[in-house]
Amino acid sequence: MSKQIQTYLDTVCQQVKYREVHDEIRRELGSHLEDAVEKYTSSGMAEADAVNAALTDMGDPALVGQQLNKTHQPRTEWGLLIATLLFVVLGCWAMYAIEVGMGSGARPGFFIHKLLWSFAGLAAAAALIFVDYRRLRRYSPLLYAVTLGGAALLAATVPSLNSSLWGISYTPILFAVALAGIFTDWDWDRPHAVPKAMGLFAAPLLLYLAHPAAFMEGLEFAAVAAILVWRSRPHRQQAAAMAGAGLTVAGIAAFRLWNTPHMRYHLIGALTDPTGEGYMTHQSLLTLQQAGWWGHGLAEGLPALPGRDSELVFTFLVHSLGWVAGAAICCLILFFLRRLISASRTVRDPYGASLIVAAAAIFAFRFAWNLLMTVGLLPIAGVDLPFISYGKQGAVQLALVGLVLGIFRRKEIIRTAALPQ
Amino acid sequence: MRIDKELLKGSTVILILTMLDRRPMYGYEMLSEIEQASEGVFQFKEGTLYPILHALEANGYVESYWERTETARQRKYYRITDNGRRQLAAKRTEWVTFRSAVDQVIGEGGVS
Repeated sequence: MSKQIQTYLDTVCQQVKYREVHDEIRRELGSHLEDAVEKYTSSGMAEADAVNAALTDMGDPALVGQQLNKTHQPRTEWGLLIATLLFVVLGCWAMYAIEVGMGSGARPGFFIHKLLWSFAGLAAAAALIFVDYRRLRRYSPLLYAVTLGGAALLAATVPSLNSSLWGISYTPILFAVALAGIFTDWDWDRPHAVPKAMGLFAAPLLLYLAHPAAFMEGLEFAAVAAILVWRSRPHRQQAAAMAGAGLTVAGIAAFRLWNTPHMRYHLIGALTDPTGEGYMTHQSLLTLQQAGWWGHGLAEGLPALPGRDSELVFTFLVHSLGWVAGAAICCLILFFLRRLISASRTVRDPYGASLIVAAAAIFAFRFAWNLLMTVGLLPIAGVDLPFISYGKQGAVQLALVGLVLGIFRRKEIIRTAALPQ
Repeated sequence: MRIDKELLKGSTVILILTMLDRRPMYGYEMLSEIEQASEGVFQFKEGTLYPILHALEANGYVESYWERTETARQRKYYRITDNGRRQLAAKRTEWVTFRSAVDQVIGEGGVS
């Protein structure tokens, strides 16, 4: 390539702030100029004149560079960011209201705890926005292995039925991040592609299902992993085989669950028995009915409502703020999920898109289950409302949003099309 | 006849999307086709095509991929997306409305 063309491309790239796109711009404009020079020389022009003519056709390099720079800028998903901040504010406000409502009986530092963990989560999110997420990708198998080992250790050390498994609720998020990396560019044509995929799917699932306290995590993991496997575009027969195997296992699991007397009692009772297993559901429905359009205000801490700071925090919010606010919160949740899904479509890097899909699946599962159990359509099963409920989970969820915002931020400043050699 | 720059600006997007609606193309190919189809009326500084293409890609109207051609030259091809087809349909309607309105106004002046 002639020196003049190199200089031209240098001048273009000087105007484009983000270096990562330089190579692609150089190649694209360079191949255009080569074509143009070829056209002129083939019509009999001398090489030097042809280069000059091609460069004149191209126009002012600084102007082209400036215009390119406008597109290749960091982007902010404002909708997602604002929705998340609103969730955090709602959560902190709810914890404050609960603490005030409890008066002297309040746990010391209840509200402060929520506030601190929210800030910790926001700090983690802010850090992740500025970290290049693509560095995470090669640690995906390691993250998978460590999470699996950790979950196995947890399950082994806490063997008793129904004792809660501390920390297990963090594992689906970690598996989701790991599998997003593993199943991006999964080669379905290599030998044993299906058994390998099924193995990655089955190992955590068996672990979750083996421990009664991790049932919900198992369900969440299965939903997220199935979406990620499906997204990696298996061939039709492969997809059919895996879906068949999955449904068979799900059928057997459901049958076993149903035939465990304790479980059956738990499941039926949760939805039908207002004094026993379904006490919380019943209380939730009652509280929702009494909320009225505009709620009862901040003053009532609702001591009679169990789980008002965790699983039934939505009920608490509706009771305090009213049905109108409840509908608004549901709209905000739908908006949040919609933004996640559309972000996954506009991000062209396949790994980034997979990570956003994984995050969307995690949040959709938790929001949907929590809201449906709040209104008595699903059993109350330890699924908190993301960002809003009390606890450290919210911090991890905020970090996940930070990861998504970081992916979105880079969508126009990283090279996405694979460059030829 | 050369066309006023500002007039051209508003119509490049619709021109590009129309080209890509026929088949995937690389930048140079697109320019040659536009020039040919318009019989040389549409000639603009070729470099300005690429910022438009990159912006269209950022909006999700087109997507790009690299391909090596028979002459061993690497080319970045663009193809239209479903979203881009919808945008093209909208732009076409807009264009037809605009054109008939202009025709109506200047038609009275007796340009025939």
